[in-house]
Amino acid sequence: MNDQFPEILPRLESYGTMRTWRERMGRYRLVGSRCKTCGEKWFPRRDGLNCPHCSGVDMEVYECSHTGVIEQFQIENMGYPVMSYGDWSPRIVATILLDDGITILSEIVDAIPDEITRGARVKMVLRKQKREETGGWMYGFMFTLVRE
Amino acid sequence: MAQPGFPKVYLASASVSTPSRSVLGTSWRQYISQVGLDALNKIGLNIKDVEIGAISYNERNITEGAVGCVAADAMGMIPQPFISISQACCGGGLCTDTIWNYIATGRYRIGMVLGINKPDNYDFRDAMGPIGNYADYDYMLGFSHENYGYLRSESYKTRFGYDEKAGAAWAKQCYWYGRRNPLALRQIDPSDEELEAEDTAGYRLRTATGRNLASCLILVSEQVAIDLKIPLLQLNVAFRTRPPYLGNHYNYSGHPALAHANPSEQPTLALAAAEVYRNAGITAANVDVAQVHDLSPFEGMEALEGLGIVPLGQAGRFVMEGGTAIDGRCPTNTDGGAPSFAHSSAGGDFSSKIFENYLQLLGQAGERQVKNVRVTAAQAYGSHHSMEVAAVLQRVEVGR
Repeated sequence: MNDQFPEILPRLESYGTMRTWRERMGRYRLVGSRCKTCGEKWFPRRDGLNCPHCSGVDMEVYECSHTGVIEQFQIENMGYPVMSYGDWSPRIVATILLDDGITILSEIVDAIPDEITRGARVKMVLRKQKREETGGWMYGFMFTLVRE
Repeated sequence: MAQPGFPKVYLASASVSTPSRSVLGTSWRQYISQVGLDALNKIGLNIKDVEIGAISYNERNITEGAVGCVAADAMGMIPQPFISISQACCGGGLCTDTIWNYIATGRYRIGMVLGINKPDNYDFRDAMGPIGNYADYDYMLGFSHENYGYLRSESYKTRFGYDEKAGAAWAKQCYWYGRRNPLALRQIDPSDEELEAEDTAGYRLRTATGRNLASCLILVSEQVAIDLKIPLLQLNVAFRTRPPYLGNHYNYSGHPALAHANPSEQPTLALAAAEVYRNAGITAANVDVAQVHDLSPFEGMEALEGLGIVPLGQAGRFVMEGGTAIDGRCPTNTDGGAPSFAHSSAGGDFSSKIFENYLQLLGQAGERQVKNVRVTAAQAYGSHHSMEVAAVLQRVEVGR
């Protein structure tokens, strides 16, 4: 982004409206899949695919836990931020071990870098992320610290 | 030394382009043609002798796809078969594996592996993310390879108790080699203080810098190698995959080797290494020199462990105690590695390592030449460790 182009210019398929629409349940509610045969849970979703654990093909909708702990984190104030995120730095990017054992990648918001520690408890929140190719805003999961 | 009865394929020649961040006046076709012809000239072959080719590229810097026929045309090889493989950094390894198989089966006798990385052509930084990643849930949500690399390094450091001193020691050794390699891009001599700094400048010194690169490997059958009267450098290569979503690098239940792993280790590389060592008839203990993919120092350490050269969690100490130095147990990244030789993705992150091992085996590595090199290993990953390639290049005698 810059003065001439204050918002992102979606040019790639990963900004595609159809793609973001297809994944809306994952983005809004951390919906993944559970294998009906062996019970293994998966995120991202694997419906329409098979289970890498047992090769079963019957998947059911599974909503991952919305709480967990920070496993690793990065205060991203260097390097090459993905387009449109440069002005938001420092971002806090983390791997999060959810309470149901699934590990995901997400951003920590509503916190300052000094507050972040490994093992800190976090909960999912829904936040505005970026514009998709049609210009509509895309929302998705992020996490924030659980403050007792 | 090779496994009895296993097919034998030889590296006859190799070439990489000279250092540059920008070759704006050169098209990618010209770029690959220059290294391809250079590799052939070294052994007195003509392009018409080459029976099959493959090119590694990706959409980060060549916007068109299916470039095999374009490469064949650029090389003057029409109508010979030419395969294009769009891959991330280890693409040269996949092309090498493909051509290796064509020669091993006896279908063809001489094959060419090309690689191209030319970010000055089209370096749309956003294109970096989706290449091989699980774009729906990393790139689409704003996470790139940079994030993956950083988080992976943090996993290694926290699990095994290292800090940036280990990373600085790795980079310092790379720069030592790089200053002795005319083909290295970043030939500098930073101080310990600069290397250990925890700011952006320090991070940039410890991690990869980017470059344009075109590379070429010429693979041949045993009979061709004998007829050409060249040193017999036997090549073996293998690769494996890992889930493209970083979250699934934790306790992935789809395979026993990955079930209790996390991003601090490279079980997928260990599987590839086991295959390539078996086929080459060696063990990790036989490796005299290694070239590994070190976009960050800790990924390089994980690679040494994945190759079985150093036990899990020990590579940081190994580096700090001089194990990767020219007189160490396993001189590593003698071309300067990603901090100094530089990172060239599909263009040469695999092939440039084979090229350096080729020089080491021929005794042509100048001031960075390691003594008595017989067996070398190389590793490269792509799509942030979702694809791991391992290779062994060793000098053998006829009939071995």
